[in-house]
Amino acid sequence: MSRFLSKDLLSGLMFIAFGMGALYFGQKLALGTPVRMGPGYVPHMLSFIMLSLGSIIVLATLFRQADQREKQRYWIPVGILMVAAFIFSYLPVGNDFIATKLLSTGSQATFKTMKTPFMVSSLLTIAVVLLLALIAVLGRPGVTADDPVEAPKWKPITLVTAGIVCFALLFERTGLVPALVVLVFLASLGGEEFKLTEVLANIVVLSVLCTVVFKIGLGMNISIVNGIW
Amino acid sequence: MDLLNNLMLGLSVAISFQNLFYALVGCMVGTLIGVLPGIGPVATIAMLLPITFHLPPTASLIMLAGIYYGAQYGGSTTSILVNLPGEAASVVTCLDGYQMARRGRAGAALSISAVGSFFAGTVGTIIIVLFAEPLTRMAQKFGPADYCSLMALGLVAAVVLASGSVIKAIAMVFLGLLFGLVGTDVNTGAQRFTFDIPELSDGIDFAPIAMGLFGIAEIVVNLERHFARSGGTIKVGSLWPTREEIRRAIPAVLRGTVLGSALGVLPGGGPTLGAFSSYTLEKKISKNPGEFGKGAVEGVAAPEAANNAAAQTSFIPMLTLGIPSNAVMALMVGAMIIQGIQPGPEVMVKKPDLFWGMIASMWIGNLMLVIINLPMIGMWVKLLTVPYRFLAPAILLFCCIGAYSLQNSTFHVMQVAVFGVLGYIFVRLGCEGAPFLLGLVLGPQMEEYFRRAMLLSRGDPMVFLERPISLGLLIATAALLVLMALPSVKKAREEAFQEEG
Repeated sequence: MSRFLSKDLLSGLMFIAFGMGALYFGQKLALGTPVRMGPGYVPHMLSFIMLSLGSIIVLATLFRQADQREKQRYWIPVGILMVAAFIFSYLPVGNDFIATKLLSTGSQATFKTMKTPFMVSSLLTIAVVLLLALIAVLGRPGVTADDPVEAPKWKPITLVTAGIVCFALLFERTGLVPALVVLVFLASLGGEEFKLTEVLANIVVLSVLCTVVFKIGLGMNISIVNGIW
Repeated sequence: MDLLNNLMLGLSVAISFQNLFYALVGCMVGTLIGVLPGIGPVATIAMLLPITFHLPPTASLIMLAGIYYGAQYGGSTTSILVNLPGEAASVVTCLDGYQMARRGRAGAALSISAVGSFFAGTVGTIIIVLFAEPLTRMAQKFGPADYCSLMALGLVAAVVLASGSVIKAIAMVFLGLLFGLVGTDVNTGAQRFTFDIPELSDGIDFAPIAMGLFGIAEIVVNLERHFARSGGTIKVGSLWPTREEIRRAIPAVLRGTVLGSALGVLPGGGPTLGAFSSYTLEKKISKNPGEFGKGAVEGVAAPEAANNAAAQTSFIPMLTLGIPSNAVMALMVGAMIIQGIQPGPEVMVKKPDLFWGMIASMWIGNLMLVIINLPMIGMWVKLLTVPYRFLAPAILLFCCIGAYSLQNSTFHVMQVAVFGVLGYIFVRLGCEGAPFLLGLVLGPQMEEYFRRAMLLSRGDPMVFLERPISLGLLIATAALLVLMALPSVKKAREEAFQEEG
């Protein structure tokens, strides 16, 4: 599976995930009508666009790498399935569409207000899921990603993030200097070279600088060391 | 005459002691971060946004603008002396600037680029003055539908001209728009995506987002890359160019200025595009193109003039229409909103002192920069010897304190951490941060105009096609997208950005 994990594929999946998240957390927002839009109209619209764009990115990446055999085996059936589903959902039943009957109450309102975006984005997303499942189960012969993701180095990002979080937690409780010491120390650990004397010197210089600029110069209401100054 | 009156008003505002002081501060900071590789104007302006809260609006905008064009000057110093681009727009200057420096003409290269930049900056400022009023007049005729289409055009054009995959960049714009929705809905008061966190009900501040996406993520990537300084610094030598060098530089500066000014106005244009295009142009029309890359004077003069001219003219769409054309302009829009000014055509009418004062100060700032850069060059060179392992923690620290001071809450510092991680993911997946930021800044306004337009048309989306202005803008947007899909254009575009990388 990891052989075809390219940057494009993963970013497409990321956009799909954001679209799903926005749909899920925004489902309670009222849609309204196109004339009087509720707070949920634009969020829903954007979610569908995110889902569609993400799916298109994923599908385009998969298609670029697919060989003849894979296209015949996976792509044609999935494509036919999607077109069939699209037509089927627009079949009228009484005064309504089949899709409206089948959908749960939550999605029904969306389907009524934004038919095409809803259908297109959900079908595209289903196609992505189907294709990825087919590929994961049956494999794809001789395909490798053309822009593989570099293995991330965990040290810098973890230490820098930890430094900022520690700073946020300490700043109001202990004052500027202790928070600063922790942040600078952790951030320096994240770099290539770590010399204790240099880091200490850096801490002293930055403490003085920040005190002069922010406390004295700009007169910000912050404490340097809690309880003392 | 109106124009002269306006300029006089602007000069009188810009020349007050306070505004001169902040222009100087902006130029100094801009030069500083321009000289230092590893931190760009976007991260710096994001870092300083909270501080501008304490300043009067005119002074804060003057300072932020100074940082932006100051960085264009500073970046060339690093390019010429150590062959490292201090700033994205000065990548091309490395090619010939460093070669000139190796032949002992560092001083000449520096003064040509500084004087050329000053000339280009002056022309850029004049262009802003000439175009500001007619454009503003035109923009005042726009209805909600027209505005919505204009923003769509701006966003698409910004995406198309940026490097990288077009569809990913478009997706990033929409992601930015989505993040822009967080907070209280203006029309109904409903809470959207706030997860019951009270701090989010005003929306996500973009200062922490910009710090995270452009500051933190950049630091992390630099730390990974193990940032080594190549070679020693080169002696500057005499600042005076020879007569021959001057003779070759003047036409190059003129061409660079024209090209840079034109490209700067385009959404998504700005300094980097201007510099690259003018370098290519010089190489094409030169009698001996073989000299390029070996220290051609034109190869320094033209791109330096172009990036500065473009830095100036990229203010035009932001000041007149309220549409930012790149990430820095998005932050300037943010700075205006912090001060309670809604960017757009209204600014010129309602706040003429701010508008013209800012423009006049740009010219004064350019003059200051020549003085800051040439005689004080030794000081900036010394700064280059500070290793990155000292700088990285300092930048992090300033980001944290800046984020805290936004509203005196550590919640914003946490936001910086979250968006730092997100920004790192974006970098790893090859997604650009700039379209995201543009979408984020324009998002709330665009929704507002969209809803208003649909309300006025009684829910008929055809309104966007029926109004002639809106229709024209949408056709332009579609044409741009179609153009990008053409195989030949696609290939040329990829090649153009290959040279850049």
